[in-house]
Amino acid sequence: MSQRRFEGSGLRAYAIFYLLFLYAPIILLPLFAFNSGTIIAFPLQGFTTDWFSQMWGNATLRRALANSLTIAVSASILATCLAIFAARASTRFDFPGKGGIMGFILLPMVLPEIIVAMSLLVVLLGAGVELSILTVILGHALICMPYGIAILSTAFSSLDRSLEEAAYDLGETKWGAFRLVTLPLVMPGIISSLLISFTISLDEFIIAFFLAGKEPTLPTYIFSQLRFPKQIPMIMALGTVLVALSIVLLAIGEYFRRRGIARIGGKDTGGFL
Amino acid sequence: MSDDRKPMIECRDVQKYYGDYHALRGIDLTIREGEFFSLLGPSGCGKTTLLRTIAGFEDISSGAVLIDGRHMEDVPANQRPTNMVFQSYAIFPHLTVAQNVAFGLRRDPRGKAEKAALVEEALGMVGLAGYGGRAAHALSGGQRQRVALARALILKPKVLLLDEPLSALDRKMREQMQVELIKLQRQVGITFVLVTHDQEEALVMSDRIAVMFEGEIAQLDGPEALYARPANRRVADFIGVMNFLPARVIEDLPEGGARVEVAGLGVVDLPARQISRANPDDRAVTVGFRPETMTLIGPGQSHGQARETAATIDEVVYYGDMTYYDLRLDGAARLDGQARTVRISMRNVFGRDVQDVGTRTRLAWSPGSLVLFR
Repeated sequence: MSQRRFEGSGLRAYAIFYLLFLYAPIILLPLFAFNSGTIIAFPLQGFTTDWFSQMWGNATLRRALANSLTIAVSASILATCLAIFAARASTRFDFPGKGGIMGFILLPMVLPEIIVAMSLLVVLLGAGVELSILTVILGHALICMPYGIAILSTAFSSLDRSLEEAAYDLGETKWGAFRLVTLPLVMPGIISSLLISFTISLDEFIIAFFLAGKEPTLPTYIFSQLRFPKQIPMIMALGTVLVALSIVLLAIGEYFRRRGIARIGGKDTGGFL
Repeated sequence: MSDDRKPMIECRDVQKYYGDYHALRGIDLTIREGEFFSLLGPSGCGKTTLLRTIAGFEDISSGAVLIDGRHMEDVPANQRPTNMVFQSYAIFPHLTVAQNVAFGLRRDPRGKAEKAALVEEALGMVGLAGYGGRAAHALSGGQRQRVALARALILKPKVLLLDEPLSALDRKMREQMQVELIKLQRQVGITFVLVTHDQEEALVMSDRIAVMFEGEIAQLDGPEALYARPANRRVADFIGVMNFLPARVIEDLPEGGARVEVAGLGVVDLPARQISRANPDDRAVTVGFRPETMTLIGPGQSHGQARETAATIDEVVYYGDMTYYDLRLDGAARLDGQARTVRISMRNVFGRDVQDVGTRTRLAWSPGSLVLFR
């Protein structure tokens, strides 16, 4: 039925154009990453994997990658842990000022990042904290947490409250009830939260730029290299690797999320893929 | 029910406030060992709150709860000798049936094989033998209910608490489970405390019933006493169907009886056991009777019952096995000038025709079926 509606209107062309607009630039990445010419322009010159080996041989880039991964993993775990507490509290308990508190926690989602980065910088410098990847981790946890809370609130609120009570009633401690019943049931939400936090942190530029001190992260390194046209093919190769990595990562995450939901016979209330 | 069995649950002047809201207003209650006890009332009457205070999920504001003679004040829910079947069943969806049932045995030092035997025994008790390996989320409503029962009973609690356990089932399943629950309770001999808003369910299953309104117990009695001698109009109205007719007390008789004029039925003498002293605010004097206690008789028929009253059939509701007749009694408006109908139920036995609307008929009854609320 919907197919018939598509025919004869401009919607099909619109959809194709839309997808092209979204993904054509990304398809250009691997195209030029394997192109032997140093200038990013058509026609393509020839096939090479030099840019990849050049990338691998670049010590600064490797350091940036290691930094970025450390930051992304730490920030997503930290943000998700904090989000679990906040989401459970907000769905389970009523306390005075709850609306206001939750609003303030979620605010960084809409606050301009440049403001967050600037104010964090001022505070950290004022407090005499030395800038390092640790400060970036804290900054990223701050901006990732609202997303984690949004995802986990849905997971917690769809959970029957009496499940935890039943576990407690059957002799478990409160922590045991949480660990044995609640945690496995919100696991799909936790995986989603970890994934989105990881991806947000991995390509975050402004906070990393302000708070990393002398340490490079992938986005700040890429930005710094764009001034040198010679380096651009290598950046293309790096971009290709990152795209491939993200696809693999999201696919793995989605697989585990769906498996988790199927195991408890729940309804799929939305993931990323 | 013999009264000599030892008390299992004692509530002494239990008060519960939620902020300004007075949820339990001084509950005094003794539930005996091995009893099937029901807390019955409309939603918001405090019955679930009372159950949860017994389970330990809610703290009480004042008063005391004792289980098996022991004060429960400092005993948290996970250490009380009670287990609960939740309204939603609260089956852990990520575990198998056997893992669900074995959940309470996690801290039990017994060996694996022994525990597995206990689980199988518990599953057999609720009619789910061989279901252990199934995924819990794939079960039907009735099966979930059984798993919840097995999971609670495997711990051999002194008291099993059931929070509206049958409300999510369809009618057929519910009636079947009612009978199974009674059998199960007799088999295990544990004290059952059931919360329900369904008066029929309470009447079918319970040894004794506490009817609750607004955080107070309005009447505590066995099913028959509750049905035949409701303590006040409100209880009478809540349990089954009861007709009410305005009445006027003509004079008090010796030994607590009364001579009463009832609209439509005339003057009757009622002994003390048929008189309920209602709440002081329930000031209007009324007489109530159940639909099945009176009989329609055709022209020329006679009936063993003492009295007859002429009436007109106002409405006929056919139920298959039963027919309800709404009747206008001659002279029913005599006392206060208001027209009213009463409802009579008749079994549709062989050879008895369903009567038509507008038919003149006679109602046979005896004063023994009347209850006076004054």
